[in-house]
Amino acid sequence: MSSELTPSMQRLVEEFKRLPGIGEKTALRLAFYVLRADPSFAAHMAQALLGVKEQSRLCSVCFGLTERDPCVICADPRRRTEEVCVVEEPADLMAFERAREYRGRYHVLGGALAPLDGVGPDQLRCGELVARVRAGGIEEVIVATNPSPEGEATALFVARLLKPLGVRVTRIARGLPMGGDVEYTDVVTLSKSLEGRREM
Amino acid sequence: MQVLSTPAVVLRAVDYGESDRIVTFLTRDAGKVSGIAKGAKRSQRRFSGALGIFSLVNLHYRTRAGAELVFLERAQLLVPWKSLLDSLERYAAASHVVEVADKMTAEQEVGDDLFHVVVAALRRIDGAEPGPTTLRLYELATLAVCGYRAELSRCVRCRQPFAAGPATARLAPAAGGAACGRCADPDEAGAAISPAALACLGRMQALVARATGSARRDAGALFDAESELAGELPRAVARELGATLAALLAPRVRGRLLSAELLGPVVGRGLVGA
Repeated sequence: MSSELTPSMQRLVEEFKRLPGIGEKTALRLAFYVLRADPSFAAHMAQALLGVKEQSRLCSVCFGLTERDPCVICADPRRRTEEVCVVEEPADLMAFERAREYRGRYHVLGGALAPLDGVGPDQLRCGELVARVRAGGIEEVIVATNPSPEGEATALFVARLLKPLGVRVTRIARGLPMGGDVEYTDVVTLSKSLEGRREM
Repeated sequence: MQVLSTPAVVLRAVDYGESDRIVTFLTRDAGKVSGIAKGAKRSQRRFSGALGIFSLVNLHYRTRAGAELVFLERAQLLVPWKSLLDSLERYAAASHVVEVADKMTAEQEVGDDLFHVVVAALRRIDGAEPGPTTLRLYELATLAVCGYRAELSRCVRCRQPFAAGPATARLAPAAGGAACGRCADPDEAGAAISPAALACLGRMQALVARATGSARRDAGALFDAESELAGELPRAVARELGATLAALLAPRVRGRLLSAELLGPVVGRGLVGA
């Protein structure tokens, strides 16, 4: 790092560099932005950083992000309790909520089976999902993990855990995205879209 | 800088930043290569569905002076695996295949033998559920093509054939095979290998030699006689083979084999190894 930086700037650059995808140059650019910005910007940023750590937590039922426990979705009596949508991360839950289509509950696993990255069954919240199903009232579990090798393996694992409990386990459909282009779609997606075709 | 092209298998991939991915390939022409795929998560044209683990692709890349990572230009799927993700057993087996290949090789160790063995193993797992000897054949072949052919037909130290009788051979992983009772190092404390397991390992070694030997390099033939091997294999011997190969691999791989460790309890340790 440049020796002309003040100690406080050096410290800020070092902290920015700890963020994923931020290298030396980007950290330096961000630090200079903070330096030049209005003092209130830095104060708000600091409050936001502290606030997210102090107030955000995981819902004890679905493990989605929340500031109150249980989260607004789990506490909402209008949401269907008999359907649970299983996703990898809280961001996936938010994506479904943006679609405003699904009215059931969720379960966030906290990742996907990726043994080469050190993520095995014990690192996912599968035991908690089994406990929810065992507690009763759930008729269908919709597995909405990513259509990646890791997500597919996780879906297989979830199905293997839940099917003996007598619950219906379904997988979200796979195929072409809206606005996509058949010409540039990979062969695996094309064949999956043909497999899952529907009568019109 | 010239764009290089080669068939390659994806061994590992991690997201980097908003839309980039850092991907490690085992290539046919340049050994193990890691590179950055800029905009991989956005690009439908350059990397469409081709950067997931296990993918067999035609890779186009540029090397960069002084850079550890090559620049990935584009990749096209060569063979879409149809059934590799149809069961947890197949996923665990395929994960083990790429993990062993990754942890037994250094970047840009050139040689196409391992590439062909990995592709043959993935093709085999894609074609049918893995059996008790599928990964053992793969492991023996990988040891052989990486220069660590396991000596299992005679004592790795005195070169004498093993005497007949119960469990006269003991594992000697550091020496790369099995040692007789006289030569077994008491400090190594390798497990005894039963005559049944030793005989099976001998037959598997013959298959490996046929498939990967210099006279005939046809990795696809590695699994041709697998049904004959597995058909007569008692479960205890299958477990012993798994433990034996795990011990022989341990000194040759970097770190622990996580796919066996984490998925073994789910799919059965006999499949992915002890």
